[in-house]
Amino acid sequence: MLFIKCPYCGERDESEFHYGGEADISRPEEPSKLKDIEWGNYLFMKKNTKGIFSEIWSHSSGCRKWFRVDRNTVTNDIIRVYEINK
Amino acid sequence: MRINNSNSIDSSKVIKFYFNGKIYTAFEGDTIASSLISNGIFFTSRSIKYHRPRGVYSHSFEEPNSLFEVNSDETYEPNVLSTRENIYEGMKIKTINSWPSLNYDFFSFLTLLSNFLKAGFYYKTFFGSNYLWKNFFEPFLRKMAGFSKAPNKIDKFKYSKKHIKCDVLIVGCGPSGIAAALSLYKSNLKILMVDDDSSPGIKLNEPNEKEWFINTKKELGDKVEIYTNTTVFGAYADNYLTAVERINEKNNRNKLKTRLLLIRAKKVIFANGSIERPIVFPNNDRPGIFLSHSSTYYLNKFGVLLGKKFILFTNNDFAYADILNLQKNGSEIIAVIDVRQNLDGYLPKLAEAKGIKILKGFVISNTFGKKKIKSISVTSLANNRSYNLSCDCLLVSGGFSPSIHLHSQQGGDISYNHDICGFIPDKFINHQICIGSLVGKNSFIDCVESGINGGNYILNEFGFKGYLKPDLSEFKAIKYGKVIPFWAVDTNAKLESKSFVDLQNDTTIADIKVANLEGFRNPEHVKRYTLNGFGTDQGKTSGIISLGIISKEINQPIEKLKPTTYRSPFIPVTFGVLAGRQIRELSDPIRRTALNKCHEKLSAVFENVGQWKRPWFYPKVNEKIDQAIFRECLSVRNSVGILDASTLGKIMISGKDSLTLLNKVYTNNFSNLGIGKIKYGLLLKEDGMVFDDGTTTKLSENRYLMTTTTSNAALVLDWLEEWLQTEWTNLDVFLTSVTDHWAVITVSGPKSRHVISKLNPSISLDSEDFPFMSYRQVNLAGIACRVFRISFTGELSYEINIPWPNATYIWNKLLDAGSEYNITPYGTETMHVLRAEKGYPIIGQDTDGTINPIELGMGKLLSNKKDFLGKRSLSREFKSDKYFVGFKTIDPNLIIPEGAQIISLDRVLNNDKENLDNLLINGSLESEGYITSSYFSPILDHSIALGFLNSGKEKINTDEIFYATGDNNELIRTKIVSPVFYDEKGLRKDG
Repeated sequence: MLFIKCPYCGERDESEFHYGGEADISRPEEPSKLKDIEWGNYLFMKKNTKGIFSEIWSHSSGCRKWFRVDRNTVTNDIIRVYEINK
Repeated sequence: MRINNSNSIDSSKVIKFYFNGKIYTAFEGDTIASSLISNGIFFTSRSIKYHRPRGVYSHSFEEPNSLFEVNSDETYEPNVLSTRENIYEGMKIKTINSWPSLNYDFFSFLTLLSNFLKAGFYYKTFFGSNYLWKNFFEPFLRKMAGFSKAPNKIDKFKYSKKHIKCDVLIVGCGPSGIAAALSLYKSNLKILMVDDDSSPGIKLNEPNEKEWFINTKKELGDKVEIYTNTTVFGAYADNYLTAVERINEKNNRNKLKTRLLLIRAKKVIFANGSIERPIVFPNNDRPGIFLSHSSTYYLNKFGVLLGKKFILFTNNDFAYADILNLQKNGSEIIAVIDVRQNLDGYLPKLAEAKGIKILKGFVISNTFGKKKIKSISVTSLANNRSYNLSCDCLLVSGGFSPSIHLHSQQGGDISYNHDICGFIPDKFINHQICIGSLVGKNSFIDCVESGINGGNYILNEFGFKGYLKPDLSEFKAIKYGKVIPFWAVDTNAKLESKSFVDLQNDTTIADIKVANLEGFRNPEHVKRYTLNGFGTDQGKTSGIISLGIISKEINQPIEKLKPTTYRSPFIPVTFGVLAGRQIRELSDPIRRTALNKCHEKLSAVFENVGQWKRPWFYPKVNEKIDQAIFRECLSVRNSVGILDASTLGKIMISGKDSLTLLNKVYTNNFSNLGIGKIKYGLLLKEDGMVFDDGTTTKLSENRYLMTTTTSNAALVLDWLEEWLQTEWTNLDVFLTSVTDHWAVITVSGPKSRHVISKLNPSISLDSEDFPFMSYRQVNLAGIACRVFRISFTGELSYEINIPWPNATYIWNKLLDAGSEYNITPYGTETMHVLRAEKGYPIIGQDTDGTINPIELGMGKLLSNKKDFLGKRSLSREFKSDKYFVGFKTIDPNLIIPEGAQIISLDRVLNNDKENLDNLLINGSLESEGYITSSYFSPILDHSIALGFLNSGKEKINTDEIFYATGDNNELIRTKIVSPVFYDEKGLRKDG
């Protein structure tokens, strides 16, 4: 079980958190102008990085804040934890 | 046979126990295994497949044979590992795999057939006929083979959990673990040590080694916390380890059986040693055959000798220490059979000097003795000549396999080490090190040095200096001869099927060869084909041997093969200890509404809705469920009913961008919603599928109250928060869950207006002053309430939100006020019937996450003036044209089962009705739709159903007859109608 340092609350067990998947997926500004394939890519195509991966987590049983985590998906080492808009 | 009394048992306390009905005695501190052996009981069990006689084989968690049922007056435990369970007064131990008794076992003839019953035999033989398998072979085989019966009573034991945080966790308190602690303990780090055994270090024989161990442990004192009798069974990311602590029965008044330790350590030192493995030879499974190291363990710990006349079969020097220890304690050593020709190590020479006969370059070619070993046949590797030797105990040692389980569970790399003929951890996981025999150190001094260095390394990691440099010169390094890889004795095909690799699963060399022959060459495949490595011991003694055999068979070096995947748990762990105290009423939180007591008083029958307890219906005396629902439904339609709707999700939305948020998430436009007005809205996920629905009320400027379905209350809040925090971060919006701040009572029915007005005659409730889909802040019976004119029944309805503490007061006032109209409390079942009569879908019942709003008949709610979540997904082309429709059966009394499939008339007639299931399954008859809700409607006196139908929109109110699949292949004829069965024009909502 990961030991995650919430940027607002400090180190807590993974069971207090909720995983949000890949970071940096922005909702398109004007979805109606996208082709089906482009919209499909936004919806479904997620990276499956081996190595350092930037993802979002929410401290759902704590402060309920979403934040970013850079994690090595091979070793599970957490390299960096930071606020969502930084 | 017990020859002396050791520290680990209390010989002043004699304990009586029963084994298969007979009474025996042992001492406090004995395990089941040591108790049986000290009473001369070697034949304890029957093997799983061939029912061969078996006995205790080892001393620890690797034990494959001696699992028992254990009963006391009020407890029953299945599959108890005899080597790890302490004996207690009155314990009733029973053999599990024999019938009618251990000695006269009905199925023991199976061993004669072992040549025919190789791996895969059952599959190949019995899977021909489904009928025979189900009715004959399976019940027969289940009776014949297996473990204990699962308990069918409540577990009387108690379990607990403990969370521990520490700086350093040392797994294993042997010489290397203790040495590591010695390096560390002056640093003021919090150090935790865990050992599987109750007496770590007990296997040390040399007096100076023993002394060092005891003194060092004393020196550590209370600076180090030691948990003995505790097994780490799981290792997870970020140094999270799980261990199970077996609580000693004697200081245990609370019947606390085991405790789960959940450990988070900054650094972990694995010093959990290695497991002795046997060598495989024909008939290597007789009672009286033990792993060599077990002889030292039983002697040192319990003062119990495993026999009188010993033979050792080995390929390494370490086992000589065991045989020398036995000789020192007066046992007769018949011979040592060593597969090696040249013995240059210190211990074999010492043994020879002490007069022990060593047969060099010999192997065991067979063993004899029906229920206990009596003699063996040895064969020279050089000239193939054989002769017999008699004995009453045969010790076997094939070397030591490092216990890489915990390292490997986390995905740690391993590599084959030729010096020890076993796999060792390769690269350590971050913040972990492995020391001692786990990394291939074998002598005492090597293990201690490895521990000291490991401890020093960890000190350094914590930034400490001043490493320990102990003087270990008193321990002379003795020379150990080379271990040679020797997994199994070559023999003929007949005896290969009696050469057991995995004792627990009766897997033989013949089985592994069959597997290889049939193309199962990868150890993972061999495991699944032969069962080698399954069971409670998970191949602790057999795993690496099977690799050795496969390697020879498929002609690939063993280092190219990989052991099968190691997974948690390392030892069998009961559900009880994992659950701990979170059982029964503590297993999941129960949520009750403010009105729970009122419902109980009305004898409501409750149903679970998520964690909530909701009244399902309110039966009167002698009333059945159908009658109660009939009465409740008609009361609402004809007069007035009252419902506790408090579980509805309620989210306060405030801030100047609240409206922007609503417009982004709801499919319809909220811009024109006035203060005090309510709007129904639909939430979609980005894939365009319906996620939730509910109403939103504009309480005042920039303040809205959103309701969600009961089950999605938390999910909708999570989802809104995620969008606000990760995407629309510039919006000024605050969300607050107020679900259990406001109790909700719905008063519904033509007389509801009369009832409400009695609680405050001064307010005007008529539809002009207080129209449908509007909201008022109203004082009812002195309490400030929020009243919403929305309806889930189609009748004139008022949803009253009351501050949670005042709910009971208002409920009772409403019951009083409504008594002249026979106000009727109704539950969730009636609510479902009433809404189905009106064709209102329930998200999660009528939808399943694959339904879009057009299919649900809510296309009108999709705004074309603005974007909303999921909109883009709806503008692609759809292949499906299924549509939400009503089903009205031709026979008004037939209720279609929910989940029924819809079939069109022509296709049924052209096909075989009898074979309906098969036709549907194999696709020759396609389903046209399905039923999601189905009830009997009391007001219509007719069965009604809701569901989806292909091209459903065009079928509404046509004469086409469809067939719904009923129970037992019965077909129910139905017409397709609008989902709104009752009051299609919607006139009743205003009373």
